[in-house]
Amino acid sequence: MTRRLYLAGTVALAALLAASMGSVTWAQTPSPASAVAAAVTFHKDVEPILQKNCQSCHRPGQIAPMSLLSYQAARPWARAMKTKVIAREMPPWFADPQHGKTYSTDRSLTQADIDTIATWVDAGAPEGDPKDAPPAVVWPKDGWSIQPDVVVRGPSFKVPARPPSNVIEWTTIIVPTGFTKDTWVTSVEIKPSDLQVTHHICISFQPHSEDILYYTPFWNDKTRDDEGVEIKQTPASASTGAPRINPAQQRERSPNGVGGAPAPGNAAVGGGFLCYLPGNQAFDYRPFGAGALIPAGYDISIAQHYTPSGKESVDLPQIGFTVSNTPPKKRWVTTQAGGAGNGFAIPPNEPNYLAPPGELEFGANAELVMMMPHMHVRGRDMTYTVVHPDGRKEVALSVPKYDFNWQMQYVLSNPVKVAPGTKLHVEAHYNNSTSNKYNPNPNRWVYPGNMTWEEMMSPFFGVIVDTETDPTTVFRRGAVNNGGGE
Amino acid sequence: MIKTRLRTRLRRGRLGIVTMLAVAVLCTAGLAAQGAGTQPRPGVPVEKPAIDPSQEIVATGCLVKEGDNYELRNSAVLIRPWVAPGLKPDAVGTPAPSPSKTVFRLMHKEGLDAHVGHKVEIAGVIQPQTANVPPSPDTIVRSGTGPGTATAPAAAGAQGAGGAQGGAEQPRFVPRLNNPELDNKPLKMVSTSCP
Repeated sequence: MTRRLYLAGTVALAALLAASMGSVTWAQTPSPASAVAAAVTFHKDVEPILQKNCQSCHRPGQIAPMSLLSYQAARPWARAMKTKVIAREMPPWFADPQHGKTYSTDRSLTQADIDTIATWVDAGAPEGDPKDAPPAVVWPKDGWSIQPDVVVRGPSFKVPARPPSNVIEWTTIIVPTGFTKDTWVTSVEIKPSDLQVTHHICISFQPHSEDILYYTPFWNDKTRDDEGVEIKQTPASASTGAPRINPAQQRERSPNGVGGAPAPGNAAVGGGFLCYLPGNQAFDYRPFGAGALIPAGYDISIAQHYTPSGKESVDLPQIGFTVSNTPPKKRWVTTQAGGAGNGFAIPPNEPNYLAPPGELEFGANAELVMMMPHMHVRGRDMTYTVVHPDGRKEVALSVPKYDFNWQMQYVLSNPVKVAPGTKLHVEAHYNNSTSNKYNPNPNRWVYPGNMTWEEMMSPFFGVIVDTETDPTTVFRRGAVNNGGGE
Repeated sequence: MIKTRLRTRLRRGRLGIVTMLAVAVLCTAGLAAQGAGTQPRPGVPVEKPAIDPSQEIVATGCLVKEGDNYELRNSAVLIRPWVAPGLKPDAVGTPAPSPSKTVFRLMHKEGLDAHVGHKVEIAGVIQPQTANVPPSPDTIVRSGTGPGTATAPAAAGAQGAGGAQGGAEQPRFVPRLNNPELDNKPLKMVSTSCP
């Protein structure tokens, strides 16, 4: 037995040695390189690319697992960098370019950038002369994406290691803003402390009520099956064979979309319904000269979804704001075009289920600036189409290969102007077949639900309007077609 | 040749302890290099965050004794948002208590007995909370609970935690809440009467 253990340990160490030696040898011995390849260095050629396209995530405190802020930090990952950029897996970007839109949040690499990184790696990943380095980017401290002026602590949340069914139900906690005067905010960022367990944290702002219970977690204990799926079916529909959903449960699931998004009239307060999601950055209204008003005394409703990691942890979220002393010229409003409603039911083994489309009509002049598709692991694609009053259709965003792991904001470089009567029409498909590698079970019906193995259709978007525009008129309430979710 | 020898020695389990130690050192160096810039290192002090808003809140309410435990009820809550240096401290207004029906469970009982029934001010840090797991003895089942309020009926509870909107069919979920626990400092007396 001892001999076996010794042998096993030796083999393991030798394997590590082989890997380590490969890395070390490769790191210290430049491979034969052509004159062209030798000229490509980290500081001169690669670092500018990393600054522009990678460092916003690849720095301490952000979602990426390693820093790319320096040669020393990036060097061990050189080979992986080449592999990922050639495969166009990194930086993640999913917008279809064929519709002619460009996005300021696009961090994808040009072919020239990819070639530069590949050439650098093939040449032994030389550092080059530090004097060639571009000035270091001054990133906000402590992992923030914005440099906040004001920060409010969210409620600390203990995430158990292994809860029953591996489920922690969504929890809502109300906290005071601490804002005792009307405040214009120009960006908002929700920053969890433990990204590993944070599925999402969404906030909205609500008028204060004196019977509020601050810092008090509210949740609903739900009946779930062995797979953690909420049990909510009633007898099957005669027409489709699909088990129907208890209407009361359907309403409970998503009274206004994800976790209680505010009604369109409230979508302007603080910017509307704002979420931290993996891969999502701050909501920054500044590039558009815009802001959002948080009235004095309002409270923050925080909807939290944590996923256990097998190790108990505590998340200490913070909510950061930049503020403006003067009202901006534009107002930012976030909402969503419908959501998965009563008609949403994905049949087993269906590879291309078209959800009931979401549609919303504008009631005022506005500019569509941001879109953020949200679905769960069976989400396949989502397309936002602006239908102008004259019938002209304009695809503002098409994400043909949606990836649940990257919840991204697509911010238009050139906002789409919309007039009253314009509609935003959103279609999404879902893959509930074996061809979806993330599908936990292709053999069951899939309904709307809070957990990732249930589904959602949440086409979030942001618009800017003139500050003088009454925010309650931006969207025509009742004009939302979402199959019953609103 | 070297590979063959290594394989043979591996198979026979004869790699010496010195060799193994050398391997371990190399592996450690390699792993350290890979982790550079991403992980705090032992012995190196972790830099204090530049932005570190206070976790302390101040609650003013009625002190109540329930069995052996103490609660602060109907608590007005004051928080102080962190404000960046260079901004006026009152950039978002002068901090003021926000009235609520919050019930804080108090962790420390010393000196509380004399103030039961009084209106008191207590500073402290709210303890990390959790939801449905593990079931807490303090968990309260609230049929008809609204969006984080003490009194909102179920019919109005469409927002927030997803309170049911009412209706004939009863959903298979149970709204619940946990009262927060406060790591309380010594209290300040406000008045002997408690509305």
